[in-house]
Amino acid sequence: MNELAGAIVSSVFLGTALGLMALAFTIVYTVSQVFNFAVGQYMILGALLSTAVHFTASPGVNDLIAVVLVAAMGSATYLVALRWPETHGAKPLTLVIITFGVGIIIEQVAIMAWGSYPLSEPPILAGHFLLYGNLVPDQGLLLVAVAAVVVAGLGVAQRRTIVGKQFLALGANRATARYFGLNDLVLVTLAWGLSGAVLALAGTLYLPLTGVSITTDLSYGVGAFAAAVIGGLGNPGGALVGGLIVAFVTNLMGVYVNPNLTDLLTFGLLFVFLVFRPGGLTGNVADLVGPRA
Amino acid sequence: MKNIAALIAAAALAGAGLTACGSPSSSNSASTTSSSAPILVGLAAPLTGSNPSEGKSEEAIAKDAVASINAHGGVHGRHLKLIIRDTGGVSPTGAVSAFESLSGAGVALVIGEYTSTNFQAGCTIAMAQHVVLIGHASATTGLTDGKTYCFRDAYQVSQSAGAMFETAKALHWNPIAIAADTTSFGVSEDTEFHALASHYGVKIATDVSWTSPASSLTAQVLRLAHSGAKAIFVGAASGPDVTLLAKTMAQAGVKIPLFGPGGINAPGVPAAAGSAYDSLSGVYDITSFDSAVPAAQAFMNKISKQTGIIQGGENPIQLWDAFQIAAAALAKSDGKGGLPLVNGLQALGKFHTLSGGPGTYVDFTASQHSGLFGPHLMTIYRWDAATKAFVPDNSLSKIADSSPGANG
Repeated sequence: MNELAGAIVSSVFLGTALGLMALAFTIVYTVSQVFNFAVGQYMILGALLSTAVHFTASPGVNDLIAVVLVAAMGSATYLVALRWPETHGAKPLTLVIITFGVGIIIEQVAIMAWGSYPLSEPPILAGHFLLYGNLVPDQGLLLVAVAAVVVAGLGVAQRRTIVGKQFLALGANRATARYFGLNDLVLVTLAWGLSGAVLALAGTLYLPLTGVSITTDLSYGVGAFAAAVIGGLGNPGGALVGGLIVAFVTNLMGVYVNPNLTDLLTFGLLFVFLVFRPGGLTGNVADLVGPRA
Repeated sequence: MKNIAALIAAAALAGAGLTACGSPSSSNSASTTSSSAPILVGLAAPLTGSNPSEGKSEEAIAKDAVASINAHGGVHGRHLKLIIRDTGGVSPTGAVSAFESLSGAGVALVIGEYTSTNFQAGCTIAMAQHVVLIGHASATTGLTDGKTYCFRDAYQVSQSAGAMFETAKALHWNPIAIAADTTSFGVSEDTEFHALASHYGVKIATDVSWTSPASSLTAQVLRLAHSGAKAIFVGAASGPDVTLLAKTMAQAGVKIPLFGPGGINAPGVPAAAGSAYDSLSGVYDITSFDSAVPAAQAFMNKISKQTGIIQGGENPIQLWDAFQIAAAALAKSDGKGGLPLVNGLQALGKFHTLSGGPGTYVDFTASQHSGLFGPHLMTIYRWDAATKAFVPDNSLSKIADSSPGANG
């Protein structure tokens, strides 16, 4: 029971973080049909900025500054690295490869700046309580609460606000959206910025529970991609569900079968969904396999 | 993503290597063509990748070692010239490129790499190209057994594992848990722990592993936390991995003591893992480096100051020693690489270097054992929260000396 409770607690926290990352993944995909494979790096960069740069004495303020900075970097990534190729006929695969490149650059620069040893990020909430002998940090509960608000807020914003609807219109058919006067430059830049902010939020709130190391980027990135596919691209709630599924399956199998199988299980889950249910639990198959407008 | 980076690096290095690549005999002759020409010595080190702190330390030590040898007249008046290649961390692709590039550059021998996985990759090339390789950190005898061109100047896994079980017996740690990575070093440690557990009557409560570099150790820590183990025997050479393990344990409120060689006190780890170590009910490092030897401690202090990275464990001194051993063997082979250098190494026997002890342990055949650095076979260090450093524990080190492995 103690072990199971521990596995459930850690799965909820990891799953929430992966869910937020999947949400960031899906924001960019919804608007531009580009898979951003640098999500792991952006997520960890947020925590690294908050921890290593140490802007102020307050962890909460540091986190907020990091979120703003990574949001700006997200927008800059689109404007500097992706906008030109996108508007000059580059195929989606080319754009995906560019995001890989951006990820490698972030990783290497981060290693040069802060090394590869895991850093300890101070939590906003330092308290904890015990559940069946397992330590449950208040910071984890904060993560869950914030994620719930963000996912619900973005879900509502997507359906009820002008910008949300413009995001969807742009993703459905960019040429038509532009014909009707939508400013795709502003909207896609905004989406990349929003995605960066969500990723930094995931990093700054979750990584105080584990340690911050840029070399874990790939693992988180794959987990987020799996969560996005499982949850269904384009659905904020689905992203969170996908994150929880990935975390529960990998953590429980890790605890009860073999902890060295977690990455393999993540890939396995991804494989099963891509083959048998490419639209995920809540999405449309066309979201993943349909032609780019 | 790291694999892609490694492939790009490998392609670039392979390209560079091709331009200078020749047959095995021609590559070795480059260092012997002129009696006044410098003797080329290669270092394969992880300058990038998941553990660049190690590479930065190794680069500084190697440069110092070569400068020191040259300042003392070099090898029969010929200076050593150091060539460094980046292995990219735990990456056999990067390691292969680095070793091939060094071999192609005509080095008399190569020193490195600190991970057993990369050393293994280098040894394959050493055997194929007839270039001598000295590993300064690989404790796994199987890596050099029967390999004519591959040497180690490190202790044996059985020696550290035996000393750990002697300690466990004395401290009434029963049962224990094992946490090891899946590198050759980790697997060797794991195998040795299992083999010795029954000999010492110590139960193994659980055994967890991970692929290095680790991204998350939450599941492993959960298993360790509820296993009932009194101590965790760690088999991991990677400092970042051990740091992640300690931090994950600290976050989960798990206080079981950690004990092991390699990564627990690798360069940079005390600074990175210190706060997590404080929260555990003990952290113990076992190493052949003995800080009671003044010259050895002075050396460690000097490299720490030079690199800005706190040095720990035996690797820094073993790397220094590897260069001294290489110079002595090159003197016997008249600066030649290949088989003459192999013969030169095998003729060395006991060898006095920084250790100040009876002689550095150079494993040629896995049967020679000529003592290590200080008065103990292995020195056990205990994490001291007050000073944020590992301090030698003489009473535990004496206990460890009664290990069967102490007799080689």
